[in-house]
Amino acid sequence: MIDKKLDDLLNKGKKESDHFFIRSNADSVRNIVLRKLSSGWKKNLKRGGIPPLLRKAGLPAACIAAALLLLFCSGIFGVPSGAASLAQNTAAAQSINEQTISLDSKESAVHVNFFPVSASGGGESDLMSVLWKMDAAGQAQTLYSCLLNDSDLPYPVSIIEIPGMPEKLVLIASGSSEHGFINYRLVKYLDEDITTLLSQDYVPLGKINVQNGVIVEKRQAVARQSLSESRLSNTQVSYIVPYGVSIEGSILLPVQNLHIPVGCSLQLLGCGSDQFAFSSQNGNIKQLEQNITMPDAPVSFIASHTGDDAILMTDHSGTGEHILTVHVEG
Amino acid sequence: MPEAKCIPIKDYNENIELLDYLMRRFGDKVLRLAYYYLRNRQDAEDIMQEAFIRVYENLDKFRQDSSYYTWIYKITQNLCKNYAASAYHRRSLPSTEIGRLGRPDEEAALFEAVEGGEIFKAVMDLPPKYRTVVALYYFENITTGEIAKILGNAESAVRQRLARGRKILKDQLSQEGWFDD
Repeated sequence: MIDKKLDDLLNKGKKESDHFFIRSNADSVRNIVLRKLSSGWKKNLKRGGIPPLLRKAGLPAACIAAALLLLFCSGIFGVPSGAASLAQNTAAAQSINEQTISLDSKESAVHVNFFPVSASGGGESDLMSVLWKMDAAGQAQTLYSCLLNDSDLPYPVSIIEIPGMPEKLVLIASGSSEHGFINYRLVKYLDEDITTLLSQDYVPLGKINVQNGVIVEKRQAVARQSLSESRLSNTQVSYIVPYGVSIEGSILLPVQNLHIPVGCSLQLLGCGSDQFAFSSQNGNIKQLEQNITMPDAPVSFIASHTGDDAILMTDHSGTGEHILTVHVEG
Repeated sequence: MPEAKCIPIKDYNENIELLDYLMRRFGDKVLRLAYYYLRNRQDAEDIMQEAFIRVYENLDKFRQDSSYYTWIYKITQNLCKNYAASAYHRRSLPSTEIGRLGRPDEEAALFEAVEGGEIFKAVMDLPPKYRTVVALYYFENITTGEIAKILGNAESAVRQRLARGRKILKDQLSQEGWFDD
């Protein structure tokens, strides 16, 4: 099967294929699946068939609207430059909330707008969050955007700064006034480059805030066996502690001491690709087994007993280590 | 710090979290596989939904005798086959279109050429049984052995389809002048 010319063309075809699928909606489909499962969706389609193409009207319309919005924001339609033009163009999309945040030492501020994106056919509307700033030429430049499904309440954007870490973390969240769930994204920002660290959708009766650089997420727990019936029980609280690594290789944390109630979850979320080993010192917090299929998932602990404990974080060479002191309260 | 009452989270929602991970990890690949089969973005998205709902329903039954990704691909492939053969699919087409089943869809081809490129479109123009094998092998970098597991064929059959698909593709591209120099 050796045919170098054909192989070269197939390599070209692979690049074209990657380009073709850039616009695929895998993330939207993922959210639809999660929503169906969390709302106790029962399958009513015939085996071997396909549901009557559930959202033929709704989802594509929302995606098209979102894409058009992005194009407007990017100035691709050749509109006049500057803030006035952005305001003019996005006025059609009726931003319902705009916040200004400072993410780097430069003068220019970053703006966060939330736009409702309505699905046709009476579906619930989504919120599209867009982070943008003015570039040197006075053009609005989109830095990041995300679709927050079936929500209508934009939440205040939070910024987390970890001392010594050049990147800043941005927490973008929205909620549903009707259903009570929240969606959120935690992204890492450095020099106009944004990476998503954490993404959660349809958090049931969720609340989220940032306290001293630690993300506190509350949700109503769904018992595993009763998930299909969407039976809700108690509140689950998770403390998500982001950590970074300095140029010298030492671990950087937003806090050195943490007070958490017994029974809650503590998650350590790495902001880079560095791998560390974790161990609790006194057994009051117990490390949960890391799912080997989810290597990027936060390292999780549960506060099992009241008392003081500490988490030792060690790099795999064993040369650098850091301690996070944890007080588990009753 | 919050005063909320907490409950232990052992086993909390772990299947949903695993499903979410699998969708993030393989969702795009599933969507591509479904597209290679059905050549329709919207149908591919529907197949992806259905595939992952089935994955969720069967997570507890999953045995580690294959990788997650082979398992998920196989579910997707079965759904695509059923869908392509289903009465619903045929009924959903106008009667004038029924005769065109299995032939390249003009609208899809237009999108493929504009949003992808001519080589991608040429591969998509291959008959389905060659198109899928060629796309999985060359675009998704899946080995013939893995393709055989996903499709439920012998590896030798996959190799034959690959060779035949390459020949058809080369003939087609030659006609379009890609081998003139």
